[in-house]
Order: sequence, then C-alpha cells, then structure tokens
Amino acid sequence: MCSGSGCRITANYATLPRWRRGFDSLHPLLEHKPEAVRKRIVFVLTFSAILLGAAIPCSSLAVERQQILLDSQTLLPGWQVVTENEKTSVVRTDQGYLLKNFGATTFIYNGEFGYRDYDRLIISLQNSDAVALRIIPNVTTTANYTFENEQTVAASDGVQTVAFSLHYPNFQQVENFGIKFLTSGPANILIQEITLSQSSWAKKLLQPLKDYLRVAPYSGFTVNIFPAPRIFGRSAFVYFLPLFLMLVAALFYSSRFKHKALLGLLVLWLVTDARMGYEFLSYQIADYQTWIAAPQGQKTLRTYGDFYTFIDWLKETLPENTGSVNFHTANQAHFPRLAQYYLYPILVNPPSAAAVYIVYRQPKLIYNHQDQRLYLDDKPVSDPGVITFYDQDSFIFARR
Amino acid sequence: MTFLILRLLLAYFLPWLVGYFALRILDYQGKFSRGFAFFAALPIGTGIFTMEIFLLGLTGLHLSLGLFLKVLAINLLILGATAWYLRRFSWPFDFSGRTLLRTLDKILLACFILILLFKVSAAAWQILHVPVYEFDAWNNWDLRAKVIFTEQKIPLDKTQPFYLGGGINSYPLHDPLWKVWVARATGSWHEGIVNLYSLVFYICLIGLFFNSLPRDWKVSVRLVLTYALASLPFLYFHAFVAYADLEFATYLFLSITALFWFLRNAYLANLILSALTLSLAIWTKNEGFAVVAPVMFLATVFLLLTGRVTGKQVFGYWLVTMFAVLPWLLFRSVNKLEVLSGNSSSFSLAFNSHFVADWFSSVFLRSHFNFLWLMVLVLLADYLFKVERKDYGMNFFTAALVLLFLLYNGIVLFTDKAYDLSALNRVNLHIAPLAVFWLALVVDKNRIFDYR
Repeated sequence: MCSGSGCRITANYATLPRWRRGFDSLHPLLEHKPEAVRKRIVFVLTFSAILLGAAIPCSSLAVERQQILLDSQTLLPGWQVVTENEKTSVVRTDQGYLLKNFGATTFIYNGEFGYRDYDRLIISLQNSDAVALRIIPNVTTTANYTFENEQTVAASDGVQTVAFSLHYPNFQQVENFGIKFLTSGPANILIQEITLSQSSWAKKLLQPLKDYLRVAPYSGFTVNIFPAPRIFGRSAFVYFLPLFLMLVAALFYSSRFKHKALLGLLVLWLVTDARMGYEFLSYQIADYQTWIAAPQGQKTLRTYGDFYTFIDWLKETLPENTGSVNFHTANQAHFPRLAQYYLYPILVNPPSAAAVYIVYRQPKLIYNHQDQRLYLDDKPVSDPGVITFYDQDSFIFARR
Repeated sequence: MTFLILRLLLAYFLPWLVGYFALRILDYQGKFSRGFAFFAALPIGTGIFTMEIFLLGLTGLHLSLGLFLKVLAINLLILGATAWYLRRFSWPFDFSGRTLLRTLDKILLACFILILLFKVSAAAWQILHVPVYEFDAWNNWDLRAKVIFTEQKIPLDKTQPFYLGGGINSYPLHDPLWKVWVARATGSWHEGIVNLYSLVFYICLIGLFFNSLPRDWKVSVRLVLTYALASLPFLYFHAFVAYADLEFATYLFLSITALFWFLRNAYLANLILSALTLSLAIWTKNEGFAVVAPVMFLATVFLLLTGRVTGKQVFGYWLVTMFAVLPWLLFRSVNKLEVLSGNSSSFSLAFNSHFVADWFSSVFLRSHFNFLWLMVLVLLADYLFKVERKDYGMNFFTAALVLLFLLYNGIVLFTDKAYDLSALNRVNLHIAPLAVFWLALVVDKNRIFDYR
C-alpha cells in the first residue's frame, strides 16, 4: 500500500470486510504524508470560508426583512379582535392601540405566510399588569400552538419588545394567526407595534441554541412526557442524530477512533444531562419563586394557580365537625379530587348533598346577601346559610 | 426537628435491618458483596414488612404504631437469631477489605459523589417543600396511604368509596402501606416526609447497579456506567415524584440481574433472590403480574427445556415467588380486582397508528432516556449476529429485555388498553436500568474496551 519510512500498514487491514475498510482507509492516507495533507485541508477550508463570506451579502448580517402589521400609523387590513368579555375595549391612540383587557382577548391577523417568508413576530407593548402572550397559528381552524408560542410579559412602566420565533412546524404555512392576550385581572395594554420579520443570519444561527435552552412549563403531564429540549419545534436529538450515528459507527468499527468516539458519546450524554439538569433546576427555581418565596396571598403553584393556598385556607376555615362538602369549580376537573386528598377524612361530593358548599372560582354560583342563599343561573340551590369569602368567586357556604 | 429526623431514620433503619438479615441468611456462601447487601436490604425489608402488615390488615387489626413495631421486632428476632445461628451475622460497615483506588478512580468517584449529592439534595428539597402535584400521587398512592393512616386500618368494605384506600384500588398496597408506616413512625401525616421514599429508592437503585456490575471491572468503568444510569433524565425525575415506578424498576432490576448471575455462577442464593424480588415487583405494581411474571415464566421454562436449570430449581423459583406474594394474589383473585389499572374485562388487539410517530419520538429521540434506547437498538442489531448459544446468562438477559420492551410498547401500540401515551415512558422507565446494564455487558462481551 505504501513503502518507506513513516508508513504504517494497519494490521489485518486486508482481512477486513470491504465496508469496514472505509474508516481505516483514512489511515494510510493520513500517515503517508500527514503534513502535506493537513495543509491542503486547511487551505480548502479557508478558501471555502472566504467564498461563503463573499457569497453572503454583508447587508444580510445586519438588516432584517420586515413587515409592520400594526402600529400607531399603520393598520394593515385583515385584523380582527375577538374578546371573551364585553368589558374589553380597544382604542386607537397616538402611541398605538390601547387594549383595556378583561380576561382573554385575541388579535387575529388574516394573511398567508410561512416561516420561510417571516420567521419572527415582534410585539412592542407597555402593560400595567403581567400578560401571557400566546401566538396561535391558523387560529380560526386548527389553532395548534405549543409552549414555544407562549411567553409571559411582566408589567412595565416603559415599552418592551417581545420577540417570538416562528420557525416551527406549525408556522410552516398559515392562513391566519392569533395573538392572545391573557391577564388574570383588568389590565391596560398599549400595543405600539406588531411586526413580522425575517431574521438575519446571525439570529438564525443563534435561534437553535435559544430553542435548545428553552424550558417547557411544568404541567400535569410532565410526569409522563418531557416536551423539551426542542430545536425548531422538533426533538433536539434529531439534529444530533448524524453525529451520534457516526460516533457509534466509529466506536464499534474503528480501532483507531474508538476512544475518541467514546469520548464524543460521553460528551453528548453529558450535554443532555446538563440540559435536563438545567430544566429541573428551572422548575425548582420557579417553584421557589412562586410558592416558597411569594408572600402569603400571592402563592401559586405551576398550572394550579392558588388552589393549594385555597386548600390551606379551607383547612383552617371549614367549620369543625364538617363531615362532607359539596365542591364546585369552573376550573380544573381535577380540583374536587385534589381537594378530597387534602381534606380527607372530610368527604368531597358525597352521594347525598352535604350541608357545606365549597366554591372555588365558580362565578355562576352566587351568594345572595338578601335571602342568604346560593343561586345558580338565577335559581336558588340552597337553604339560607353563612358565607365566608376567600375571594369574590371562592367561598365556604354553610347551611344553617 | 431532631426528634423527627431520628424517628424517620429509625423508620427506615428497622425494615432495612430486616432485609439485611434476610439477605445474610440467603447468602449461604457469603458471595454477595457488602455494598450489594447494603443497598438491597431496604427494598427487600420494606417488601417483606408491608406484606406482613397487609396480612394483618386483612384480619381487621388496627394498624397502630404498636402493631408495626411488634411485627418488626418479631422479624428482627427471628431473622437476627437465624443469622447469628448460621454465623452469617456480619455488618456492612466493615472496611477492612477495601478496594484500592487509582488516581483516576478517586477523581471519578469524587465527581460522581458530588453530582449525586447535588441531585439528591435538589430532589429532597423538591419533595419536602413543594406540595404533591402529580395526578397519580394525590389520586392514588398518597391518597390510599392517607386514608389507611387516618382510618388506622385497610378499608375492606367494597361498597365504600375508599375501599382499599380509594384511588385505583386494583393496585397493590406495598407503596401506600410503607407510607402509612413512615407516617405512624414520625407521628403524623406529612406528605413530604412520606414521599422521600422515591428518593431513597433512587439511591438504592444506583447503589445496587454499581454493586451488580462484575467486580473485576475497573472502578472507573463501573462509576461511569452508574453515572449513566443516575443521569437518565426520566429516572432522576421520578426520584422526586411520588409514584411507584422507580420502586418497581428497582425490584425488576434485582430480579432479572439476580437470575442472570445465577446462570453465570450457579449460585442458588441468586435464584432465590430473583424469585423473591419478582414477588415484590408483583406486590408493587400490576405490571409485575401482568407483564413481568409471564416473561419470567417463559424464560424459566425455556431455561428448563435447554437444561440450564433443573426442574427442582424452576419449581423452587416459582414456589418462592408465589409464596411471598400469595396473600395479595389470593386477595385480588377472590375480590376480582382488575389486572391493570383500568377495566381489564375486555382486551382486544388494535393498531394505534396515530401513536407510532409520537411513540418513536418519545422513546428514541426525546430526552427521557438520553440516547440509551438508540444505543440499545444499534447494539442489539450487532449483537444478534454474534450470539453465543452457550452464554445463557447473556442470552437470557437479552431475551428478557427485548421481550419486556416489546410487550410494554406493544401494549401501547397494538392494544386498546392505551388511551394515550401517558404510561409509555413510565413503562420504559421500568426496564431502563436493565438496558444500561445490558449495554455494559455487551460492550464488555465485544471487547470494545478493556474493562479490567
């Protein structure tokens, strides 16, 4: 194969099956004239980099293509506003559009595009209270959004800019999309600008890293499935798969590279471990901030809001000798069963109606101060009793 | 607070001692390493203890602290005296025969302990400070434990809503009864304290894994492999979630690896240990009876037919298994409890094509098990071409892992019993420790690296 000093023939190379020689056939090549070959490789890579750099217009590194959908001067046709609460209003002002929000309001934009046209949505706003923003593709039909399409924006005195990447499968091609503004109470949101833009190369290169580090919110389903980490809306490991397969092949079929391949696999393993460790730590920090460190009256836990605080309040406030309660809520279907666990031996929703009612966020059940009864859809559903309020929609009602 | 911690330590120590004496008695040639006995003692001790409590609970006796202590005292007396009589009374804390560590081993050990300490501390903080949030924890495992603790007995009236504690009453009572004991021992129901059980089992599993690897392998290799197991994201996550899947995974791991070692070294104690831990797996979750027991039955029959085990050994194996879990099996049979968590009166095959893409992504591409299952897939393809017929231990292990994987995932993909993918990763969690162990064995078998 080669002769002279500096050559080394791989032992048993000739006896290897043809397909296995592929890896080891690098050996004679590299070992015959290693220095010359290395110089050639460096030259080719440098030349390619120069070509690539010249091919990319410098302007594309800085300027992003964009389309302003809405600002104080411009309002493209195709906008609709849908609200769940008739008290909500949208008023045009000099600075933009003032949304006086009660609950949830969706701004729907009717316009076809895909992430190859515009891969970012930028919203500039000023909000008096924390607002959860949700971008919903094809909001009038499939409305299929993921956690990557959601962000929570804290209250601010000044204008803040929130950017959403749209480089996800659900934005591959859309006919319309919605921007949902969710607030826990009344809030003033001044929307200064909504813009679609196509990112520069620099931002495009950075987006996979941002996606990879994005933590999925802790939900009741997390115990079964982790949605993250993801890149461009797909499992992140899909992008590491070619590297993984190469490393595995080198590990088992190359005597020269197997140790390096093992190291590569270990690094890959460590990267995922570190990434998931970061995710778990994020959950704990979030739990600490919302449940441990938050002042009494503002404690919340993950997707269950202040329900656990409500349970603690119930334990202290329920009349003694309460044997059973009727539990009503418009929220999570789980809440009565969760309440049962925490309140046992008090029975929740026994077969026969109990004398005590627990109402948690059920605006349809109203206490009438005049006749001291509970009303549902304007009909009395209880005898007169005593009420103890947790908040306006949550209370304990005990029949006399 | 100090008193509470002492009581908690005692609550774990006494059953651990029961398990340790049982293991010492079983280990008639003293072949179990001290580390192995140390980490296996708690799973075995808790399983024996809760089964005894269950039996007493069936008689209607009040599950008071006094009763628990009496049971433990009798266990310790009988087992301790037997171990003493058989001269198998040795403590795991004798460090006279320490392994010499090289510099690399010491560095890796220090790194591993640091990482583990961090993970364990974080998990402990989570369990102790954050209320139970996951559905099955408050709707089943913790609920049943709390009901039994509050009532001081196992509710046996089928007409009542909290029959067997409520929740999913077809599930065995091992986990809830253990939590009742801990609550009783510490004086009150504190869900953080009782739910530390998952974290303790995580530590036991890590320790068992390390001590189950061949002892002639380098310490550094064993540490790296143990780290690989400890760092499986989904497995670690369940260390601070009050489910029973991690406990089940521990028993399953013990059962399969013990039988593997029996086939390698013909040490009868391993066979009995495998049978005992299989019974405890059945006593922990229904999958033990519905999925694992059939696989082990097939395996033992096959081994019998190929002459690797004798008829007497197979008979003894199943006798031990059935005897240890007989009270529960009889009870569930008499009371017609469901085989799985839902309605098992009907069962039909169906191809859930809508699950396939998500199934593949969840198992192989997402971060639940890092790239463990991809590695298993790749190595399995390679291994099948190099199977040595006479390596019965390895063949058994491979067959058991593959069968369990196919069964578990087959139920999700090809039956009407999976309504969604909520159980998918948890069932693969059961066999993940086995997969890591298998990977280690295959790499050693192929002489890819020098483990020794």
